[in-house]
Amino acid sequence: MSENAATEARPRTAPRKVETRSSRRMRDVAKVSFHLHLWFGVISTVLLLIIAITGILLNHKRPLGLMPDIDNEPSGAFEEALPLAELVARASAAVPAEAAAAGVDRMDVRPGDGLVKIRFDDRLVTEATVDLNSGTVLHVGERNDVFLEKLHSGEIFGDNWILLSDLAAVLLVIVLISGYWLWLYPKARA
Amino acid sequence: MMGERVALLIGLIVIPVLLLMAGHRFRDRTPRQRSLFWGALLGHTTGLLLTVTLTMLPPIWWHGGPMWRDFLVHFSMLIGTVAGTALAMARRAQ
Repeated sequence: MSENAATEARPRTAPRKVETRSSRRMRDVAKVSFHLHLWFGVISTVLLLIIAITGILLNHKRPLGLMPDIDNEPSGAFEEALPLAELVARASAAVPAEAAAAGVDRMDVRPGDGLVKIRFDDRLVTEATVDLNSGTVLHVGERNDVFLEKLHSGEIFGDNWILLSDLAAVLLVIVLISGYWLWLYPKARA
Repeated sequence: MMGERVALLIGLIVIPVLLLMAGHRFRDRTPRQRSLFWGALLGHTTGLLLTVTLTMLPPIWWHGGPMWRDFLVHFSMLIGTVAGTALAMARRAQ
């Protein structure tokens, strides 16, 4: 009789787990991680998409033909190379008038290949490759990779827009860390 | 110039945030609200794909090029969202 009464008096539900301070903290961190992962993931989607695609294109810029790849052997000693002004004049004569009018942005001298790449400051980023010694124009074309680099960094929209690229990178790091946390402690959020 | 940058930022950040807010407790929303949400989401996604494609094809700076490309790079996501919502609203009204 007394044994039966004792059995009935016992609670039928499973004993509640006592929540410790550390498990509560784990649950809070998991909740915050979930929301960070969701919100920052959605906000950074477009930016990361553009950064990822431009990054892949830049990695394969030569095979994709986004920048010219000129094979050239030096036609003379580097000491006998034509003056820079002469090389620019020859390049300017070879490129479209719009590019020549925009002026030279930079010159990339390659003594080992016996050539200089002269990049113009126009919208299409025209580049002329000129032999250092003979002054022969080896190639004229667009440098599409320069545009993609600027798009990759956000610089194409303006100087301050590189901050948007920084923001995307920071968001990606947070998304990765929060995703890792949710993977390690999936039950903590429950 | 300023207007198109603002439109781009709205498409990049503001609309995704608003869609996330609208998608919160989605099951409690009315059928009309759900339909508008899906319209806006599909419109924004279409605009997003258009923006990503047009920024890189061709890989030349769009400014100074064809006007339509310059316009669509900046406004696709905004127009897509508005058009998607309007379409969903019109479909709902039928």
